[in-house]
Amino acid sequence: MARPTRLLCVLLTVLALAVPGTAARADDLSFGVLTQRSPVLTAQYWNPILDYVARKSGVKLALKVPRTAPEANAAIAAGEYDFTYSNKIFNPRPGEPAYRVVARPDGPPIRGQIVTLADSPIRSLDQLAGREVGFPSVTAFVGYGVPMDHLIRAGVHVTPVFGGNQEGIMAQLKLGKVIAAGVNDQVMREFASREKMEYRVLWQSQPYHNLAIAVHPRVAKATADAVQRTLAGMSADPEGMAVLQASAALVGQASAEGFVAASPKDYANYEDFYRNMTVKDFR
Amino acid sequence: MIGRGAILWKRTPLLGRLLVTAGLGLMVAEAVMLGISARQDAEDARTDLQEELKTQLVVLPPALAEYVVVGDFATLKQTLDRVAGDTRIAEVYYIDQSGVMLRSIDAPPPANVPGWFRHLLGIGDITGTAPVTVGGRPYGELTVVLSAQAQIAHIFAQLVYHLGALLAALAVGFAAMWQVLRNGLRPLTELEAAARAIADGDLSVRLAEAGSPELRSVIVAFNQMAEATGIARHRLEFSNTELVRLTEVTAHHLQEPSRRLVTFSRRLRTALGEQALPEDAAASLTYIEQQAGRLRALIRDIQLYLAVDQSNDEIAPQSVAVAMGLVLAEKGRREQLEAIGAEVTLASTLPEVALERRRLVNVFDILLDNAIRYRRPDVPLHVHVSADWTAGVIRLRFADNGRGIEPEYRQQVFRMFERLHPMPGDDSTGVGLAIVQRIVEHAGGRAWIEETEGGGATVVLQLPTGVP
Repeated sequence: MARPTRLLCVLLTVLALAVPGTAARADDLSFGVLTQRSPVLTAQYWNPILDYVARKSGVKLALKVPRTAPEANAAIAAGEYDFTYSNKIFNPRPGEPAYRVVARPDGPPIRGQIVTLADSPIRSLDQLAGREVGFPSVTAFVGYGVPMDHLIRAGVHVTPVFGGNQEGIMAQLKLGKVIAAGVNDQVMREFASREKMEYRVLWQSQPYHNLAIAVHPRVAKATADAVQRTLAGMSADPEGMAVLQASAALVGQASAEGFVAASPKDYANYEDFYRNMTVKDFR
Repeated sequence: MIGRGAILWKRTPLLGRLLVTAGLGLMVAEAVMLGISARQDAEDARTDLQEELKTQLVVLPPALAEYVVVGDFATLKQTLDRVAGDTRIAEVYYIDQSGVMLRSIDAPPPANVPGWFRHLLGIGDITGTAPVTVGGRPYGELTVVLSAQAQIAHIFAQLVYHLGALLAALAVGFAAMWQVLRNGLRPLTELEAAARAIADGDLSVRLAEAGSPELRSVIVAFNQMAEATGIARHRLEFSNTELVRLTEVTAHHLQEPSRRLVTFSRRLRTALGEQALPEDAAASLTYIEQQAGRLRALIRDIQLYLAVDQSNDEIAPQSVAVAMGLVLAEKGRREQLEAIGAEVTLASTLPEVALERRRLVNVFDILLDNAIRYRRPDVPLHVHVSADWTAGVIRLRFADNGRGIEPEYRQQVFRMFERLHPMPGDDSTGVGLAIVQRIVEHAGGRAWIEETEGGGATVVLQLPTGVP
């Protein structure tokens, strides 16, 4: 490549890296999502929902999909997102913004699970002792924090292996690269349905509400309320239901689930977990 | 230019014409085929590029979507660089909704192909754009530029390869054709040599049958012609020889009676005495003497005419002045000329001619006798011998100031026994100019008569400069 051309490309790259890569306009509010699926699938799931919210409430939300869960957590800790869909808002450290829960998915609660392939010789957690077990990442609440906490309390010492996100570790499990994995039961079910995979649940946790939609304190209450109302009424609106059904079909959900208004009290067991957890590297 | 081409073409032998014609025909045909093939290749290449562009615009946006969604522009740029590394992709760039552009250029160097060829093919780089949309939301636009350089270079290389193969095939074809034609036409060369040999008098030459069926047929016909010509010539020579022999014998046998006729008529005149003879008897006797003399002159001239073909003397360049000197030095010639007050002059420069000396003397003898015989009675005879010569030709001019010859008789007088306006006492045989013409033509020349400036006849003898 000629030198002037190469220089131009470098300048353009630097310029591009200085600007967030989104489909957003300058006046859009950001909506950061904790990565549970691949970034593209996440965007395919959320963008139609956010477009619906914009059409109905007038609040334009720009989807922000971080590359990894730690990135998402860091962004939340730094208060970069105006709205977030995450479960990393229940244990804020000093100086971190106190995101407020405004809504949650209207579906069954999620559980942490330790699973293995259906044809695996592993039948109980004891058989995992000393083995490598896969987890999405050190930041996955029901995928790592909850199941690992249980393994430690049960005295089953395993070597954790991380797949980057939920989809990543489930793919490794399917390929047989790990003997067992800690997963989100819903995401696991959807993945298995999509990939025609059969698996066995070795253990599962108490139910937790799925990730919460929370708002940054800087966002005006009226805006937060508008978003909350729109999301909560989505399943009652045929247009909203159509969007939800399309998104559900995309990720392999058995049925479309809407959103309901929620408050911090709905997530009290999260706070309990954080107070008593034994997993030192869970962040 | 066309004139030079036509001249060159006329000078080109049949072999060359056939090769040039065949070569041009093949070249034109192959050039047309190569042109059509190249255009078809170009059309295929254009279709390939369009198909590939369509594919890239379908495949690339989903492949880049993950980096676009997470805003990982560094990885996106690396991916674009990798994409641009594809041999056909010259440039790829992504522009997001805010107008930020990521661009990778890796255009292949321009193919080493002449400009006219690119123009002829009519294909160039093509560009296509596709939106990058995830979940119904546009994130930006991806533009791909596909380079046609590789295809152009490939088509040109194919053309050069085919052209090289064509030229090699033509060279081999030419060599084979040249060999076949040369061998095939060799009998023609031999035929030409044989025809020249026949033209030179060698009727014994025959050709062996060779070459193509057509040439064999020509050779058979040629041999038949040579055979027939030889037989005809043999018959003609035999007949001519017999005729000459008969004429010679006749002349020889006529010579003796004519001589005796002269001798005995003289004796009779002596025995009778001039006075004793009646007038009509003396006139008859005189007439007998004159006719006997004329008969002897006729026999002599006929013998001279026949002798032209039978000379064995070596032909060497002869001086015209020397030959004329010999004529003037003949016995009684000087007295004859003085008696009539005649003057003979020669040009200061006279050439040599390729003719037997005695024949040259015969010619001048006859011409001088004619000049004397047909002089004007009231004008002193003046004869002037001159010459001019150009490349390969000498013209001797024997001019007198005599009575001259009317234009309509100037050809006629060269016939045997032809005499114009015979006068009493005219002892001309009518053979002289026929002998002159025969001698000159035998030497490869010709003779004719012109009018002398101021009156009289000029006999022009045109002779070749070399030995005939």
